[in-house]
Amino acid sequence: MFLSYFYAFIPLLGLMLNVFTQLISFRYIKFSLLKSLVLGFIIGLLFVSGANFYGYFAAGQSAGEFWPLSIVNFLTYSALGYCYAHFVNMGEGARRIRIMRELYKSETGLTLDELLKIYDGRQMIENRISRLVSGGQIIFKNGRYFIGKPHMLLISRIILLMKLIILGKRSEFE
Amino acid sequence: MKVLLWGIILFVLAFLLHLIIWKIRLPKRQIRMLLLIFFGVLILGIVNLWSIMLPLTVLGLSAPYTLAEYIHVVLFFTSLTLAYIVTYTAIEVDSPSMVMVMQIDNACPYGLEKMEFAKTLTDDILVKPRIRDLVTAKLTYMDGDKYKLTPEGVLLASIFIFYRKLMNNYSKGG
Repeated sequence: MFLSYFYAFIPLLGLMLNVFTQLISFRYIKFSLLKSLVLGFIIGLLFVSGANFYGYFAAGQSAGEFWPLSIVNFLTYSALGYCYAHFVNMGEGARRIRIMRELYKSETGLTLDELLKIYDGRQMIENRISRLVSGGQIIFKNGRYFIGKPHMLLISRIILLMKLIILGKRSEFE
Repeated sequence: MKVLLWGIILFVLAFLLHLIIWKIRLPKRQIRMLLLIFFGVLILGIVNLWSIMLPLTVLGLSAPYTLAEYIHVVLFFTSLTLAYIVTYTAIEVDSPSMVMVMQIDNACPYGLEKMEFAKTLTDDILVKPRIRDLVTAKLTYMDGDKYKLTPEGVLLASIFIFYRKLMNNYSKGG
């Protein structure tokens, strides 16, 4: 009985460990955001795997039960870890969150011109270029930009495909 | 196996319902509608499975039987739903980083000059639509010519501000 409940909550415990590790490694060990997120995810994943194997080896669970529940817990933990990474990234890079943070700071509200002065598109492009270059996703050579590591391009293509399937268009401006 | 099977069946049902509704008419407040669809399907599905119990079988597997199994299905479904919804935010609106990467890819093999970004990624594309989104989502409102946060917006902004403080992250972001 206890084992069934324990199994259900393994991914949540893994997520807590993930968040704790990410926070410590970013705030105190001064890892970069990406490194701290990867480290947190791996530590949580190790816990989830270990806890699943505990059920199999120590608590005598059958193989027929072990594999499906391990897959469920792996998928649940991965989805939760992905959501957490997205939450952290939204705080860092999402435009809507940045605009809301600026409005929060201002007690009397901001006009459109004031918002555009604080958060202009040119600065945003600079920020994003420097993030893409430092991450190796794009390369600057002879005054021009080229694709570097293909991960971001692959993600962009997948999102584009999903846009076509779900929204039936390539861009929100079509 | 029951948890894996029923979790996936409910998720696929919710996803198909979402696709059908999107093909009929794109909702104005898309994320809110997604939450309604997915958690509506979850609640209806769980209530139905609970009331039908054993007679219903799919691929030779009966409905979940114990409370622990139901909790497991709910956690599995919820994590997949949240992961889909955070991904959907990148489908709903064009991410500047992804647009930039695609532009660079389209300029292969000659590469792309920095000035090209400024030509296509203006404030009208990058910032103004996101300000309008915040008004549509009722996270901000217009008071005269000023934008202000609604109570919902204040709550959301303070969550991100608190978390950035917890991480000791004082970069501007964006």
